[in-house]
Amino acid sequence: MDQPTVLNDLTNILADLTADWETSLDAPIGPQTRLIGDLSFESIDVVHLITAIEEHYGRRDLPFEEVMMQDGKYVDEVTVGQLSEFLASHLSA
Amino acid sequence: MKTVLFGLDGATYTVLDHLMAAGVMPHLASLASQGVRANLESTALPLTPLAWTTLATGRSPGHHGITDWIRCQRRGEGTFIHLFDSRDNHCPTLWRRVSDAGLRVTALNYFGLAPPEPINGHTMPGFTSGRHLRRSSHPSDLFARLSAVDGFDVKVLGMDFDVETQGLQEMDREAWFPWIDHQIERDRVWLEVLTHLMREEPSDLTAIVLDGVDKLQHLAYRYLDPAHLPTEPDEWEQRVVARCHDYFRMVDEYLGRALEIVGPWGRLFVVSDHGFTASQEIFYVNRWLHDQGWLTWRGDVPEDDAEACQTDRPAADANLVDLEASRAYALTPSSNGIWIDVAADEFESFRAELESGLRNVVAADGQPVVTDIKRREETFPGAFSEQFPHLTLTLRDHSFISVLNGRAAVAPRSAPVGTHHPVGILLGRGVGLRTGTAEDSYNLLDIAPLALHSLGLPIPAELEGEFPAALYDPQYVASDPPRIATESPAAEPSEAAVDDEEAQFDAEDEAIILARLKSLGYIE
Repeated sequence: MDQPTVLNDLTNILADLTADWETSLDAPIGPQTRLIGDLSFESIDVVHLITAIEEHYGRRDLPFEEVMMQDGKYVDEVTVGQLSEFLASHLSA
Repeated sequence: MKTVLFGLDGATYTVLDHLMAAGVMPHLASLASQGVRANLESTALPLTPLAWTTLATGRSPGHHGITDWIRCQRRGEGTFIHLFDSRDNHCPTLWRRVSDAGLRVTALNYFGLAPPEPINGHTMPGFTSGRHLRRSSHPSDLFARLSAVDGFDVKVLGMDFDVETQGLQEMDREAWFPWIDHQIERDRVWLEVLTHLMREEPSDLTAIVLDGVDKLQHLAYRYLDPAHLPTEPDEWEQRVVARCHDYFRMVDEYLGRALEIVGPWGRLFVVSDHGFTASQEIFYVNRWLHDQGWLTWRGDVPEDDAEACQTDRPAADANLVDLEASRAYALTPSSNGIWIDVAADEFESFRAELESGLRNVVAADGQPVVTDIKRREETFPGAFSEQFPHLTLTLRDHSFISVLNGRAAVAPRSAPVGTHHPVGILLGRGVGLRTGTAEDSYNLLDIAPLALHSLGLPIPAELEGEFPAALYDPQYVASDPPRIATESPAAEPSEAAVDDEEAQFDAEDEAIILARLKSLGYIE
């Protein structure tokens, strides 16, 4: 699956997920959008995002730790671009 | 027959009997005196996600696959956390079975309802952040419809994990009241949703869980259990007791409304997933494993000074241990479990050594702290047995273990806090149910057969529990015996078929019930 398609899917998922949230984002969701800094994600929201992505693609075997962890610790921030890159690489595999 | 499962998470007769006697819960007292009451045993690990899933499926945890709140997966140097959800339950729920039979179901605030599955009725999940309730409810417009009802602030229904974590350890005195008020308001809105749906969109099976009971007891158990009440309470303690009573008084008021809506032609059962008791000490099991030379911390792990089982960051807690360098470790307090990581040819001897060591852990009074050690293959048989820790511990005061580093392996608590007890409650009132206390103790596995029979449905043979016949008048059971279904239900019927079957069932069911009731003298 190519990255523009994945990015579009991910943008739609995030738009639905955050539809009734109060966020600091005043521009459309895009590759530079930060989950925590712009969309006010908390750790539990990441869990729900992963579930929504898994449900959308019908996959539960995606190794999200590759994008959510670094050196054995959880990362402080993830952008939509990083996430779509990760998804594109695994969904096309 | 209309059936309601009124779930009180963690409810125990130890507290409820006191509240009924004090006049705080008159509707529950009436139900207990006019209906039937019994003990209800929980799962081998009395923990909410396992226990409510067992109630909802009639299957034990090794079969349904819910083993804890979270699943920790080793990934390189770290541990990646997954939250268990509906996709991890591998057995059909009551909601699914009842819906497939053409009846309507409402299930509210249960664990394991998200992501939602389409059923004939309503589901709103519990233990879900308010931000995600809209997307996690079924049907998809339920959240919006309820939001439009006057007086419903449905966003309060969601679980605020920061608030809930506060209640698992001591708080500043003045912080108690807004915290208790939050539980009162949150469960009040859940109960408003319950009674609204029971009146406006009634279901054949209606089920709700009120988790405020559990949360309040974790924090304030010593102000609820008469054995621990202060003999000369100060002004603040008197206010805490009164505010806790306000919570139970509110729950009781809505129980009364639910009983009224059910009326004399239905059945209402009050159930809990486990009981409660007082935790008097804390066992820092990872500290003990470290002292034995079997566990290596990841760096310099500070000693806990808050009598805590975990911090407010479970993902960080799971990474406190250097898994690569450890032979045994605990990852979550809620599992009360120890994982063993040794070569296969060492496993049996190491496990025996570990079990022997655990049995010899003693507190300052010289008494053993660990009273039972369960091996997963014996305690949680089934396809998912290997997803449980190798050993599950029962401590003498039923406490949860601490995964943190302690100053010592065992330490007394400065004041008792609430913890889960394996025996909960079961009360029922309605057609055919007898009056009085049942001598037998029942199990969560028996609730699915109980509910299916109450709805006039056959009990699938694969369910592990038994229909609790002794809760009913023998004559009634003779006229309405449980039916065992030996074959799995057919594929999900179409929407049109559901409507047809529902109409047919209603007419036939009513006629059968009326005939039975007449024959037993319940009606003229």
